[in-house]
Amino acid sequence: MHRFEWLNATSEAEAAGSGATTVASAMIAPTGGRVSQDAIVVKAGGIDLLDLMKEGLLQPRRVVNLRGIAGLNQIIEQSDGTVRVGAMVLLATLASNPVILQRYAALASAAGNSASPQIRNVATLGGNLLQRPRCWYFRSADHHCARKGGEVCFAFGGDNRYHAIFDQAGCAIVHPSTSATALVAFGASVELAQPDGARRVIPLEHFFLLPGTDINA
Amino acid sequence: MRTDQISALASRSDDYGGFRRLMADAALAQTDLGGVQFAEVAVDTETGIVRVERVVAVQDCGRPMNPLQLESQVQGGVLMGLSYALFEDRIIDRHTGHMLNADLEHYKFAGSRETPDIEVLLLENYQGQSATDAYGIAEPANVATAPAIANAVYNAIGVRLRQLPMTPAAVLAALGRISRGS
Repeated sequence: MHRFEWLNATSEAEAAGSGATTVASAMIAPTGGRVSQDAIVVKAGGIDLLDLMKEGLLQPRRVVNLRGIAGLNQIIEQSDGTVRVGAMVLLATLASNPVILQRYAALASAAGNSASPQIRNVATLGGNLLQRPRCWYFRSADHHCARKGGEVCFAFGGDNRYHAIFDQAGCAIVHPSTSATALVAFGASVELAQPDGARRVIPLEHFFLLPGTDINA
Repeated sequence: MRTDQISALASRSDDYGGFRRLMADAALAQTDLGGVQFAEVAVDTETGIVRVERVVAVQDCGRPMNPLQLESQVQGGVLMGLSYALFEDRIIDRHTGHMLNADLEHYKFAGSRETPDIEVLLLENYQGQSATDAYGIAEPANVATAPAIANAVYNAIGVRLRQLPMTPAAVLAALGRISRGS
């Protein structure tokens, strides 16, 4: 793993203003070139982020740790009848929380059947929703695929037994989160804290984009 | 200590003639150690998932020096055999030549949830041809497991699977439920 700086964010505003980019964009490298050495990324549980860093697929200059931010690990029933789940709530907590178990059993089941007990005790819901796809070409340093700035999607013509069969033009990745499936079914929305302090609420089904969609275009 | 000294101490001949019995009563192999294993499986013909319920492993191993450790070794061999019978698969990309699942996330193997009841029976057949009549038992505990599981799958679904691992897709293909792919 490459050397990097570590910043313990103490507030949402500090994290949002840290200059962090998305892991997705930090993983893009020109053909024949190196992945960005200058990116700043945020870390929740770190399950996926550190895997990517160990594989050399992500080489950030700075990692902003969110675990020190108070209040992000709570599940709150709100007065309008909705339930607000903090981004840092652990999958293990989601799986055993009485409110989630009673009102959103499919979410509790999805979170509780994810990965292994060790991972569920560290992985957060926020990190789970933002993890990168598990496509083995995307995860392989030997394959500079279209999703990482390369020319081709190796899944086409390659071994694509675990890949998408719908809407896969140009890239056949599948989002790996089981909890996301339950949340989309329940009509959940995500609230994003933006660098300028503004908040943005997006229905989860619109938060996830098809591989061919450029959110900045 | 030299062999002849051990033989003198043990009051026996250097060639173990007094101990070694060819075609002995309980021997599983005539001139070497032997083993036999039995597997009980459940095959879900809708999903193709094979679940190994129980394995009985009978192992001939000369004089058991540490029976507890020996049973543990046999259990380990059974687990390893089960793992490559059902899960382990080295997937190579046919265009780039790179292994696609060279990490513990993508390379599937048996875990605690796939572990069957394992019953180990040791035959004390003292023909180890060593100063102690003991055999080494590393790989032998592993050899019979995958064939035993494959036989049990055949017994369960009536179709032979001739390739490992016996994945759900391979089972469904053998049953004619899905095409074999390219």
